[in-house]
Amino acid sequence: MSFEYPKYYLKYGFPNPFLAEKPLNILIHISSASIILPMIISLMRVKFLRKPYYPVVIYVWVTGFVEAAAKYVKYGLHESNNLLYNCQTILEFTLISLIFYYVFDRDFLKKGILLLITLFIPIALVLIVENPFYFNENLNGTSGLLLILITLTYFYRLLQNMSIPILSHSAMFWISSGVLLYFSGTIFVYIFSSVVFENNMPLWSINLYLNILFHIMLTIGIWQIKE
Amino acid sequence: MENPSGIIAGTIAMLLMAVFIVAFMVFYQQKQFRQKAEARKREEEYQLQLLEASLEVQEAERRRIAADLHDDIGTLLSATRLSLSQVSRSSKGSATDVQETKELLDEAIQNVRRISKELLPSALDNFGLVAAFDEFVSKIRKHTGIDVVFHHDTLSQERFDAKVELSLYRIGQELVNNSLKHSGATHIEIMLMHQQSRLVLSVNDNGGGFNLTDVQKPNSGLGLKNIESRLNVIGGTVFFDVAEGKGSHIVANVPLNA
Repeated sequence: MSFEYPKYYLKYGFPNPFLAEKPLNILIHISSASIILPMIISLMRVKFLRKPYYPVVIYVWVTGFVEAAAKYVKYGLHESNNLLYNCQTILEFTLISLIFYYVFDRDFLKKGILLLITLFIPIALVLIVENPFYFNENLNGTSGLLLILITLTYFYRLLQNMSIPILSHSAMFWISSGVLLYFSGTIFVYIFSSVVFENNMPLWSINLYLNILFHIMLTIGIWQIKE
Repeated sequence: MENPSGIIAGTIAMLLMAVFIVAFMVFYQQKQFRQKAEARKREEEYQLQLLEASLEVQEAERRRIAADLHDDIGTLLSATRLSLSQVSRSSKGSATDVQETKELLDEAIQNVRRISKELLPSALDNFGLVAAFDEFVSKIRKHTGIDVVFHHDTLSQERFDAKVELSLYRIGQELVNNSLKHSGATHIEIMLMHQQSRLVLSVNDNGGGFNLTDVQKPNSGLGLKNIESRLNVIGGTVFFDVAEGKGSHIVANVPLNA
């Protein structure tokens, strides 16, 4: 199953999964549209929102707008939307880290997260400015790896505190599990993304499935935000 | 590079994390169960301590009242009787009236002694369970005329933990009083046995019996809750073999190493 990529992919670097063409077309659109689910549920839970969940909802809405803008850039302007996705990586890392910043109970963990954000943003900006239309797999890989570590720390703290009576009723448990599954599944795909495309292997479907799974888990998590 | 290394690695990583999440949930729940069980155990221990403290306070209060009755009121009544005797010798009052008053005073003195003995079973403190039950049974026989018998095996000289002795004595008292008040029994049998590492007290009667479910309801007035509470504190158990119209057979079992 091989196909040719548009020439601007070669000019601007390898595309991200959301730009792949057939046969993943339908899956790509479903994956992009899946963010609508948590967006709708966040509207229903808006009156129960409190500190740790603000970044979750902001993340969901930012992702929704980025998806919409990316579609417009691709299908309306016929340009590369890698810049949008690169910028989204920064926002994604910052917002998801902030969720954990609010739920961590130890000062050194909070400070650690602030330090990571402070280091990540300028480095990411430099990399993006150097090559704005290149989908930077290292940036994504690093962001994913850091978020996995932060989430695992959260699970460790959870086990120490035992502060959640029923795990399946906890918004944070669903959100953290979603983060862990999504980033652990996609991190290697991003790291090896150039290899995958060089070999004409449009196997980005794993990303797309995980993206849908992540959005479903975010939806359940936001649904669990109650008084 | 022909192998989709990223996909394979990504899939493995994701599966590992999925397994991790499931394992985390299982481990978390197990830890939660353990913590809940420990909390429940602590709560039970705390309740037991409260119960023990309340029983101790109850006993201390009984002792105080018994001492007050014996030392103050008993002495006062005896002095009054003596004084009345002297007054009757020197005055010209009616001999019958004085005699009646003396008899009333004698009765009051006896009642005070009886109540104070019931409140503070000195035989229990001094000679143990068998002596205390012997005294109790003879007193009941004398006052009620009901056929109350006490059997025991060869433990007449043995002494046990003070808490165990007092609890079993109070339980026996409570059960016999229940039989007297509610069952209409004409024969009551108390048995005390030392079996290996436990003491067994049984109280049987030929009365009307009772419905266990009814008397276990709050405010039933039979004091079965008291019996259970006392046994809880010393790690004992109670067995009720009762039915309406068929008498009652109640057995309290207390481990001696508790």
